[in-house]
Amino acid sequence: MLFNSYIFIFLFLPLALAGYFLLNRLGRNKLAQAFLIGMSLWFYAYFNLSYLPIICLSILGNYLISRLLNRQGLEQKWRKLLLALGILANVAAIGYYKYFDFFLSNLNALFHADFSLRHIVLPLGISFFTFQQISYLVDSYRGETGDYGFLEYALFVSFFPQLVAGPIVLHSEMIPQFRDPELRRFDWGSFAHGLFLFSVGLGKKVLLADVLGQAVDYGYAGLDRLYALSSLDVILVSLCYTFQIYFDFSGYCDMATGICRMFHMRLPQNFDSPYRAVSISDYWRRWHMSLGRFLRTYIYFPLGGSRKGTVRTYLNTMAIFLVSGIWHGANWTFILWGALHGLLSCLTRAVDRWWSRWNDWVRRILTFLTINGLFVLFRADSVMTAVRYLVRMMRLESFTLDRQILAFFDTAELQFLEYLFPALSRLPAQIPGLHLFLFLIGSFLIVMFGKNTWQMAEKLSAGRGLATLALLSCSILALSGVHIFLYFNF
Amino acid sequence: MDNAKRWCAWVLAVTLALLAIVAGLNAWTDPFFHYRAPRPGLSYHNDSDVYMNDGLLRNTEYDAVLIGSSETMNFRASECEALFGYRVLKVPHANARNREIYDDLQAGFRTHGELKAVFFGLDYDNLLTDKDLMLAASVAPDYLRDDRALNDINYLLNRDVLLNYTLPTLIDTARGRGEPDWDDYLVWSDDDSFGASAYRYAMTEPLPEQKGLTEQERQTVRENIDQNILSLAREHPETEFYVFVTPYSIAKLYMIGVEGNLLKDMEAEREAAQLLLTQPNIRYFSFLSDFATICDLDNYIDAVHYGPWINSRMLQCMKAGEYELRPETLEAYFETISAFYLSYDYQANGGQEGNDAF
Repeated sequence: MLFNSYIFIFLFLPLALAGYFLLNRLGRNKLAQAFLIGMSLWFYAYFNLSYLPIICLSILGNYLISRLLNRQGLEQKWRKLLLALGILANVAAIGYYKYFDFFLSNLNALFHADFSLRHIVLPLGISFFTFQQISYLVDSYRGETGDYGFLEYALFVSFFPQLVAGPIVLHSEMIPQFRDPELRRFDWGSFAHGLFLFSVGLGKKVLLADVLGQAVDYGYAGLDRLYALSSLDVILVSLCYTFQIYFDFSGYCDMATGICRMFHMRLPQNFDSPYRAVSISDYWRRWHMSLGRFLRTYIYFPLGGSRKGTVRTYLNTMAIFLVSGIWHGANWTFILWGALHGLLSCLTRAVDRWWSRWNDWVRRILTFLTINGLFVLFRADSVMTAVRYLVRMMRLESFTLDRQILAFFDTAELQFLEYLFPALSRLPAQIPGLHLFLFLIGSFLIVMFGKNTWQMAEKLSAGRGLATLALLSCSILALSGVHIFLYFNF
Repeated sequence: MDNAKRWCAWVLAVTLALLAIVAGLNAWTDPFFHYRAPRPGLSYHNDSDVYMNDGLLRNTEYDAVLIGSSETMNFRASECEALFGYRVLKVPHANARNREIYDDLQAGFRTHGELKAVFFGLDYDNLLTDKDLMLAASVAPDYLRDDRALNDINYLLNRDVLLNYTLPTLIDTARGRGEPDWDDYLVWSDDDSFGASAYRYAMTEPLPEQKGLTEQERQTVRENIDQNILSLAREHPETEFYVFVTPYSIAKLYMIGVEGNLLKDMEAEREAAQLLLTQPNIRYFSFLSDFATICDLDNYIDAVHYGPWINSRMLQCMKAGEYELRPETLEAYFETISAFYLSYDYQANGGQEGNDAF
């Protein structure tokens, strides 16, 4: 089920909130948790019923392993073996569903073999709930998890706001909240802020990301399309994607955070205005922060982090970025994207003193352009396609504007304004690409100067009320159509 | 706490009220005629085949349907009514495939019982496609086509419907613009110019050897025609079906020919015609033998789309029984057209540099 769907907004969410708080009010706390698990599984299975056994088995298996790891008197070597088996099982599951076909196609290419691909349907959010459970197993091994009941654990993994696209939460963040009697009571203040965050996220998704996404899908529709576009078109499409992926993913996270606040709980921050970063390292402290935390805590630090000399530091940095690349998708484009980010992070570290002397805005713009260029690799179907797009961009050989791309930004609101004031319709003819450029400039101003949702205090004002109802109404009215969240398949 | 409760109540109540107003406006105006026929006096913006055809088919009064791809857009229902005496609804679909036309006709039969006549424009391009092929661009969204009331939320709470159709309809009504002329529905010819000045195609290469119809392709044609036309004619024996092949220009036939597919397409038409003529309530017309029209590029705005005078001429010919094929004239017809198009001097007609076409 999508957050940005009528069924979620008008049926699922009110039902989940009412059921959860009502059962808690009646003192049926366990039943309330079970209810929320049931609702979360409904939320998950709504995408595809066949996903349901996969997540149920995953929760059950990991819980059993963690119970064994917590068992008193178990010898260290057995605990270590158990942990290794648990991690291996999780990696095997994600490996099978996400990477098996990629592995086979590479074998076919390398050895001119003819293994037939399985075309396995990727269970949504598998990368998120798998990483979440690996972190739980490691913490169990370290003795950092409490004596959690099955319902608490199952709810920690399946809680629907963060189930399919993160953030990747830790047990220490969620389970104490499930247990806190204060938080089991409905709170109007928390609900109000949640409603505001949800409307901001929904607006980012349907009013910004989805409009940009149409131009992106059109621009990346294969090499034939590329050859029909000018250099300027390709540059604009790349910028559209850079803004789209941010509004899409951070919009989802804002909605998830908002829903959690409605449940009187909190999720960790996942974005901190990443396009304001002044270097690639800075960018990774601000983008998908919960993934960065996971990679640092469970891979970088155990490998020695930065404590084992310069070379090891660089190697460890490359290791986490390669894992990040692979985690994002089964394609060499993602691996190369991760590797290049890793290399640039190492470079930033190496020239940090020199780089930090530059003006902040120069560094910010250069970082943004680098991120934009690397996102071409992230979005393209293959490395060769990405290279062709980048070459097309950098050659700067033609500057015409594709009419179809411009048409995507001729939104219903603008068409209505032009209908009311016909003189306005002459402007786009006089200034080609006016709507597109306004959209991109607006997006740039939002990501560079707008407060992110974590910088907005929890306050109740008439202005915020108006903003909430305006965003909510406009976004709900813009829901009709097909919307796909980009981060579901990672 | 009370403050937060009031804030939430206020925000949610106003939001729901706004949404209810939008839903009410969209439902009352019903710009896609999903619930009822066009309201008298409203200045509808009747410009969307994809969104309006289904509503028109379900909710307006008619006893004959004129349907097809963009090739049929320039027909005028009034002219058809005057010639044949039916009450005609024209519902063309740009880029429609036969399956989409079949689905529309099913909706018409379902809601109106036995129709007196169906005028079915058959494109050459549609003969060799899969029987179930539908192109997204010409398929109305599910919420307009299905009977699930809850799905209507997509229609009622829809910004595009509100801003591009409902409000302009209401505002234009208030401005006294009056009802649209339904005879102009989807007619595009007035805005465009025709002929060599608007459209030229370089017909410079000689035709290569032409491929024939394979057995598999023959089966594709049979399945397509059987499912999408014949089955309807069998189910509705009281309805007279006028199936007519629309006249592509000589430039389009050249384009098919340089790909080596001209003979194949003509054989596909023969296969289709043989099948269609087995059904007594089908009359089959092919304007591919109207050489004077087809070879005069001044009749066309591009390789396939002709001016409204050609639509008018087709109606008159069908009324007079011209260009009608019968089992006994079928072979002679195919010999005539294949001899003509396979030996035609394309370079003499279009051997010039020009714009490309679709």
